[in-house]
Amino acid sequence: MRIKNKYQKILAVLGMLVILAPALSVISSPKAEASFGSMGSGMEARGAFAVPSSDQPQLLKVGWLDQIAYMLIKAVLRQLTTSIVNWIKTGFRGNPTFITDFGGFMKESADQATGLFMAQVLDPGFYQMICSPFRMQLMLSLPFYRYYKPQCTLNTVLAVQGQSFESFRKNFRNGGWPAWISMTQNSNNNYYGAFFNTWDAYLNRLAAAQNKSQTESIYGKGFMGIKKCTVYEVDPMGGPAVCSKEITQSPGAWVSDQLSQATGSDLRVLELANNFNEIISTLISTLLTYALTSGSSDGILGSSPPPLPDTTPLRNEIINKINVTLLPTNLILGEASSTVQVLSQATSTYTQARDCYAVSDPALAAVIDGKIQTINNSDYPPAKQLFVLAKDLKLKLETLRDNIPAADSPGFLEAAQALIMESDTLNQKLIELQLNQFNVINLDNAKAKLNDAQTLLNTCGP
Amino acid sequence: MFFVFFTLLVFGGGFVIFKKWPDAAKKPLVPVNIQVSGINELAPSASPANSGLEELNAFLAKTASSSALDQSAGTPQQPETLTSALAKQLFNDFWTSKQNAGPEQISQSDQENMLNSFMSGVDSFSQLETAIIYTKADLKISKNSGAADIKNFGNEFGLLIRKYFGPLPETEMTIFQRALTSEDDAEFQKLGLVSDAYRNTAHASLVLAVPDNISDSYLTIINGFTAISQEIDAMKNTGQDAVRSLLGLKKYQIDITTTYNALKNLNNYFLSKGILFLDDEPGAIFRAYSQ
Repeated sequence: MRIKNKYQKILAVLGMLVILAPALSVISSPKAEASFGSMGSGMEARGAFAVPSSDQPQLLKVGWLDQIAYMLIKAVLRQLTTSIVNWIKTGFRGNPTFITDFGGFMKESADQATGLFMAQVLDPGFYQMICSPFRMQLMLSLPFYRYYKPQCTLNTVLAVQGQSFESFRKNFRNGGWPAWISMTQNSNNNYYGAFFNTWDAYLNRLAAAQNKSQTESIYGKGFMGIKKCTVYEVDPMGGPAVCSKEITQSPGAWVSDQLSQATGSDLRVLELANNFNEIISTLISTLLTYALTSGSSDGILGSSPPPLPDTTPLRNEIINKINVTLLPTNLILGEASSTVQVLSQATSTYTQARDCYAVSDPALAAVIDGKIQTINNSDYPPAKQLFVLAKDLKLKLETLRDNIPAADSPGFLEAAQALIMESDTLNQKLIELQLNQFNVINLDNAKAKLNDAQTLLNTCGP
Repeated sequence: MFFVFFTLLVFGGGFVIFKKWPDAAKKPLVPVNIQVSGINELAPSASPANSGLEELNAFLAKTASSSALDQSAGTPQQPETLTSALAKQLFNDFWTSKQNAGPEQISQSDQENMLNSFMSGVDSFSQLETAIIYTKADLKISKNSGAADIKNFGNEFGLLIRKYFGPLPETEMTIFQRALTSEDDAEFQKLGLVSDAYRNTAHASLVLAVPDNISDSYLTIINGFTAISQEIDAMKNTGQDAVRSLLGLKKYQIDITTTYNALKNLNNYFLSKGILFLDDEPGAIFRAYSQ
């Protein structure tokens, strides 16, 4: 009971200090900075109406405009960040609310993690002693965010006292305050802190990978470096203070610094900075695109709906696509048609030869009859079928091509999608025909049979 | 005993101090929020007092109630610049998203919402800020369409352009780029001379008698010059409101192209009428606007 009271008093004082510290830090926050960051020099630009000097007005050249837009965007970035920083210092949601919200922000990371940690690791009796109004603030005081590799010292602390982590988990007295401080003040000495460190590192890497190209492009243009004055030189004559030392920070780092000062905690500063930089990078890209994209002639706002895209190229493309399918279809159709004709002629000629040999050489007549059966049963049907299929495909393709609606007709874009799908289906049929062609079409073989039949007929005497 | 007393003292004091916090947060720092049509959709969620959205709304409401050329400063309760209003909205959205995300990365959809909200704010401002638009009723249209009348008009218009642009040593983009490079506000202020040239040319052009056949192109040029002057004014104030300046740069590109095309139409009209301006004639200025 005596120990319980002692803990309550200490924690109460700790809680109040945690609450008061941010407010004090806000009061002593540094002054705001100038609006502009450093900007690189650019090439010479020209205006639109250089009328008097040369009588040669010129439209803006894209390169110059890019250069100007980049520099202007940098000014935008600087002012946005400055405004946010000033707002944090002076009135973001009202400082007290903000600090409460900061606690809300930490709920996921601190309340749950550390709360669970306390509930599970500490002695249940001790955990219950920490009344809820102070638990949050106590948790906020735990600087478990670290960004270096885990170096476990808890075991060392416990080993000195002849205790183990398991025994400490079971009873707080097995290790006592030295172990507790070691565990809570070094994030890597508790599961949740270590987990968050690892998880943060993973998320940072993941985010870095996802946004690598975009961020690189922004960083590559030097956008993210904002100069911040760290040392001011006071003018003894009473003039304005002059900056004597600058550092370069990313917008996220600058904002996070201010948050850190406003809340009196450096918790998750790096994570916040990374998150904010990510947003700012995307915003800068968006603004650049916005600034360099000319709108419609009726104004920047596009008050009237944008004109429909020119669909003529799309229509031509569909026609071309169908023609590409139609060309080999015609070739197959021609091949199949020739084969069918030659086989028909061969059958006819064989029949004449068979009839001719029927009396003079019945055995040969029987052989010829066998050849006729082969053509009728094996060669002709698949060739004829291929011919029919190719003819059908040709007809479908031509119908499709000839019935494509005009490019400017209503609903063309919707129809175009169906046309493209139909064209793809027919193209697939063509592929099947091509595969089939090699199996069933052999014009040379058909011609050889016709020659054979002709020879047999010619050798049959009158 | 001392600990008990100290604890009570600290707690008691803390209670008195912090009890007022929620009330303070509920007090609107912006007195009256005039909701501008279309702006409410900007809000991704309910906005607390002194949130960025509230200030942006106040800023846009002020813009809506001001004339296009009214550059007077805002009341102390309202944000003075579009940049600061958007910055607050952005950070408010960021903070809200971060609270929701906790230690996780802010979700992609939240990021998109943030950007959309920001760009919606920019667009909303664009819609509210419109340049003076002259109509044909403001022009002095001449029924005389003979070659001599047209040529006379060309020379008079050329003379006006020379009058106002002639004294300028350099063009707006040269000044603007140098100002951005040097970050010197004095350089930015030099843009005022150029915006005056555009504005004065437009204003003086209203009194010229323009042949009816080319009045459409002429009106486009006058409105273009007027809009460009306003956009250059926005660029002049880059140091105070960079987002508004950026908006001006974007509009400037559009208006320059529109105006340039109208000047080309004018030149084509002169050519179609067989009118050629000699080098020493003021109308020779239009020869530069050829295909």
